[in-house]
Amino acid sequence: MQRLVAFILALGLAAALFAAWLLRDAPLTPALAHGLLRADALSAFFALVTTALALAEIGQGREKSPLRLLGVVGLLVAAYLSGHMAVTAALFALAGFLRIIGRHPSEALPMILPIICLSLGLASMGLRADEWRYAEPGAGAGLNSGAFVLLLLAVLLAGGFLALTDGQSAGPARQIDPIFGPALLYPLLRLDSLGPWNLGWLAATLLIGGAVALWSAWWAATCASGDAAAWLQRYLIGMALAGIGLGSGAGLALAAFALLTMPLISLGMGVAVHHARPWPLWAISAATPLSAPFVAAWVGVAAATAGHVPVLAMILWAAALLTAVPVARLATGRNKQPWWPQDWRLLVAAGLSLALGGGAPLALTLLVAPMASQLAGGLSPMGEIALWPWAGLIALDAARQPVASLPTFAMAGIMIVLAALAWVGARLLARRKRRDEG
Amino acid sequence: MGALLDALGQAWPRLLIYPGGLSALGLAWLLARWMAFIRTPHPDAERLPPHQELIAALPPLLALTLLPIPPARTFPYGIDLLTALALLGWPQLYSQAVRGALVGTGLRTLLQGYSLLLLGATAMSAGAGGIELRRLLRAPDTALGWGLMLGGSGLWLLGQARLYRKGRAAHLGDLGCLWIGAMPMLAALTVGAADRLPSGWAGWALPPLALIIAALMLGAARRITAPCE
Repeated sequence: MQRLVAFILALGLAAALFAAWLLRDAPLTPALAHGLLRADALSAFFALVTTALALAEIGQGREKSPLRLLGVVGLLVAAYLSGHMAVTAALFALAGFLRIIGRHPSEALPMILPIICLSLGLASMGLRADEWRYAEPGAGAGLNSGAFVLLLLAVLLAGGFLALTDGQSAGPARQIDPIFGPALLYPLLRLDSLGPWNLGWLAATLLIGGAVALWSAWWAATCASGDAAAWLQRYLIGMALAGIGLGSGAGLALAAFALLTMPLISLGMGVAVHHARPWPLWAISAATPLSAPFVAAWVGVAAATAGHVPVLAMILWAAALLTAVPVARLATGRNKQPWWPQDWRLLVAAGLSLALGGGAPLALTLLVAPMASQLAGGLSPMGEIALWPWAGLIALDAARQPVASLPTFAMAGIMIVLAALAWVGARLLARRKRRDEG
Repeated sequence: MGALLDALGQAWPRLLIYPGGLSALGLAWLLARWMAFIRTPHPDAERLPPHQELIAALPPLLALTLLPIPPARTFPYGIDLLTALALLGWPQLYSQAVRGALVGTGLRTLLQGYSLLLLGATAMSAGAGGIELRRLLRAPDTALGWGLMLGGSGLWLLGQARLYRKGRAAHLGDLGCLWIGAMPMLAALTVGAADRLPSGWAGWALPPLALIIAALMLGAARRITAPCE
């Protein structure tokens, strides 16, 4: 059954990628659906992330009921594709209930709280504007601070951020749901479709996001290896929140790269913890240039620099360095163990991480740029992560001046030459040593 | 694509001679001798096997190759502080991880050193208006910008002094960090002395001077922050 569900999810992943390509120019709003259905780049992106997270869960073999997981993913994707806020809330609620079936009430109740917050937040906006379809012109009138606080609270509750206070993951509202935690960022990001945020909301999200990222990274660096994966996921949600709080195209890119990195971290760390020397994990470390976590961290620091928030840049930089510690500790493992064979799931996660890091310009073009252009009404021009043709990524500030650069292709090219030179040097040294011994 | 291949093709002097390649290996050796002359205790890193040492040396060599230091020929695809720090810090993190020193005192020392490095990097980038390395070589418009850049450079070197370790690959990382710490000084020297030097000399004379000043500061910082033998 697991294999069948994994196959269906893989098909879903391919479909989400295709949808992202299809929707890159304009959203799809069938007239017959009367606004109930609306697919845009943001919907396709979240469908991709949720499906990838579900695949990572299946890959780790942690999911007891794969069919139920498939149902949850289906409902969440339907929620992303809904243009009606009440329908979105209802689908999220259904997915939430499906997720908690069979759980003990003490464990289930904290998972219902984010859904209640989300439903109240969306209902507040719909009732206030008297317009439930978010793409309609009058929907923006529903934006209010109460709804914003409720949606932010939903993200924090689903991420189990109460655990930040003492580092203990056991207990109510302390566990992160690997599917729902990231999924609840969707309604928050969807607010950008309704109009620009006020400065207070941006500042609150920025502060909370930065604090969550740094705090989670600290716990990840100091906790036991088994708990690090959950802290790293919280760190990435914090980064995404900080990106949303920046309120710019660069901030949106930060949120996107953080979310894209999450399934890889989840799968890699989840699998590596059961192995003696999982060295491919180095490819999922924020300390390894051109890995996905490194690129996410770079986008974070570059976005904060472009937005002229140096304190946030330093916080995200420090957080990225801290997150490198648990991964490095786990990757080295018991160094005397043989380095081969390795778990194929770990190799897949590592390969995808390097592909996403090296191919970040492609991900930016296919996934992030369409989102930024379709949500432009809610974003400020305070920074943009742009394509550096045939070189990599470049961060531009509000005056369109470059403030940070990541020449991925040029670095990879020189690294290949350097590695070749080193290999030749090593062979020559080995031959000379053999000749001396002989 | 053609522009990238053209730039890569013309980057061989950077890769083999300066600022990477032979000059990097020579200067890293000199820096190691200088730090040994300072006579402060260096925590002995566990010797990595030669092939691992070689792997650990590649990222700092890449960073050194891409440093925008005169008189090397301009390379259009420069890196920024974040990427440079990740590349230069790789041998340190790798050897610490291999030694199992990413817990307790080892982790605390690493975090203390990196917090100073990050403070320095943030100050330098705030003064320069961005994290691109080439910005550190430009003169800021305001006195505050100068203060942030030079103060940040001092903090950066202080952080580097706390993190200093033995090891061939680590020495290459240290040399790269030293070059970055020397960049704001090079900018100051260029503003102050370029007009007084014969034409074309500034690019050849000032970078070594800035590097020597930075190395002296690093030695002093190491002497102050580490107990004497």
